[in-house]
Amino acid sequence: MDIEEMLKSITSKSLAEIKREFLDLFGQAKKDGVEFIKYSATQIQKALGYLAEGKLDTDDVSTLLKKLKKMAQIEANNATIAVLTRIQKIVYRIIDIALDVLVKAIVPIA
Amino acid sequence: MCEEIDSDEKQFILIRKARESRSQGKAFYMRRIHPALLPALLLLLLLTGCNFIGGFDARSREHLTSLKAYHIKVIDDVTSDSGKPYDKAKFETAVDGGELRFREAEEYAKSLKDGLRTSNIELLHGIYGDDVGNIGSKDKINPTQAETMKGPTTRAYDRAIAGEDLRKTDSDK
Repeated sequence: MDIEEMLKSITSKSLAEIKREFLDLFGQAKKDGVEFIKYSATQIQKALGYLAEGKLDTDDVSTLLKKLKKMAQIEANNATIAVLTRIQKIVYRIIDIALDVLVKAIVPIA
Repeated sequence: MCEEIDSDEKQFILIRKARESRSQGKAFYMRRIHPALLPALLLLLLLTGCNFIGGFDARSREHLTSLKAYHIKVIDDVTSDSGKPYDKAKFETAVDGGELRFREAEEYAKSLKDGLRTSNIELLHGIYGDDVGNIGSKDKINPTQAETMKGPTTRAYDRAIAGEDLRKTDSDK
């Protein structure tokens, strides 16, 4: 089910601004280059569709949304692990080699 | 003979590079690092120093794969496509069993003193709590509800396992 179709039932004027912001962000997420962002948008669309069809209740959907937030934190942790692992693997090793071998092996020119 | 020549050439190159870098050293740093950036660089060094990443740990990976299988089985065991209510007592016993497994995995992760590994386990524990809380508030779970829980849950564990694998060095592979 199309996301705009699903949100048609929200007619309250006070929610119009939020609805517009959601649709704008949702459109960006579907086209994003980061796989997890696209995955989250797809999951949200699917869950809201099932909610509209009565296959899921609001607790099911909020459980999914809380889960996606925690998954986003795991993605952020993994990105940090990847960067720090590279720093430790490459920079630490360069420093170790320089300290333990090169500094002693290079003979100063008089 | 050849080895001697190679060795002399290497020594010559090393000496030349040392001489060049010594004569260019000051100018290089002055040109590349603006003094205003020094506090930021020091802060970065401090932060990276604080966030030490431990090496790959096979037992941690095993904890993740075993918790994943357990979590998915808890959902499978309460799912029914005939609308039949699940056995609450059996479910609650399974939930307690999972709780114990998570506590053991968290204690082990904490002992390795790597905050990001501990954080990933704690986040999965939170996902487990949300899923069993949702199941426990209902009498029955249909296949659509089960799939909506299982798909992202499986992915969450897979990503945490990938995070553990990122720590592998060439000797771990």
